[in-house]
Amino acid sequence: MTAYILPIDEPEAIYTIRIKRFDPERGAKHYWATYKIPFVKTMTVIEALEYLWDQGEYISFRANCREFTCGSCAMLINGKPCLACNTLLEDNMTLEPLSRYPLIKDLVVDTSAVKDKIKDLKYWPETDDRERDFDVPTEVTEDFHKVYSRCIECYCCLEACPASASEESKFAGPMHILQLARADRHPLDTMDRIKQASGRGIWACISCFECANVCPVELSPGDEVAKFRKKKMLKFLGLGGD
Amino acid sequence: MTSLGKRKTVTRRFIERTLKGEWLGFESHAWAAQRITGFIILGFLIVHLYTLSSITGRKAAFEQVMKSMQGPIIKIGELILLWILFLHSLNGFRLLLVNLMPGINHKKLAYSVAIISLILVFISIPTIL
Repeated sequence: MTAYILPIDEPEAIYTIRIKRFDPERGAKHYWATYKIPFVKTMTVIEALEYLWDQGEYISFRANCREFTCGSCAMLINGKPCLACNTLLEDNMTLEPLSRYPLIKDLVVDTSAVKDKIKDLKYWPETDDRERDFDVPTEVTEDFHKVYSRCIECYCCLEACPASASEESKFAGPMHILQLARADRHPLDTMDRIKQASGRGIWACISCFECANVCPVELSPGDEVAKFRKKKMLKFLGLGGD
Repeated sequence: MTSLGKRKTVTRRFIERTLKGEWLGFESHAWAAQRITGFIILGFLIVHLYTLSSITGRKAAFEQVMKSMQGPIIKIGELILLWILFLHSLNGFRLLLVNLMPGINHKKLAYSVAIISLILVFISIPTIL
């Protein structure tokens, strides 16, 4: 853990934050703990957690890049899925772990189920001939720059999506559909991604765009669901769709 | 390891999050409004058909029912029903646009639907009253 770097000699205010904590060694129940943080301008939630570490409060959390690139510090901040490195500290904030996944400790959850789904969905371009030369049209490159390569896989959209909340729901979740759209757009990919997306419940999406509302990099996976739906409809009507 | 909660259906999750005062986007409320207005319209349709079938062929009963429909409460109810019908149909149209035109500004569209439905009701006030 790095040392706390912000100057806190003259804090602007003392903020209170509540953190939902869980320690499997202490028992199976979680509990709420309240902490006082000396707030300085531009202090983020991740910096507040690092400050607590420096004070001897060893709250488990994941963090890596601290510049919303890695997506590891996703948590529920005031009930909303956010990145802790991307959220400025406010008074009376509540921090909780993501609620969809098994809890390991404090703010750390086990997301291996998502990784299993990634393996199942085969996001990577599937091709018969990897040596084949191919031209990448400019619009495809632009799409990758503007949309598909920007997803940081923080799972905020999966947390916010009400349609993939149910075990009975077939909807894979916004991030997975976005990644399928990415594979579909890849010039080398030969898999039928429309069929794959249809089998993953694109019709169960309720178009609430909660995924777009919480995405820290301002992507809109709901639009990718709509694109797949449109392609599927056009294909069904024999009007193209590829 | 323990899980913080069971996975929920869409409706249960929406209600739970609303009751907890959690943050939800406008489109989520539009989805809830679509469901609620759908059930109201279905309820109205059943009542409407039942009322009509019970007075069919009896002129006196028909006129009595029509007279009872002239009260101010019924008129306000008609306006609310009209707003519900506008909201439901425009919201359905919004969903069509969202799916047929991916990339459309869905937030503005959702707000527009709410505002247009209210404007249409206000335009209809002289006709209903």
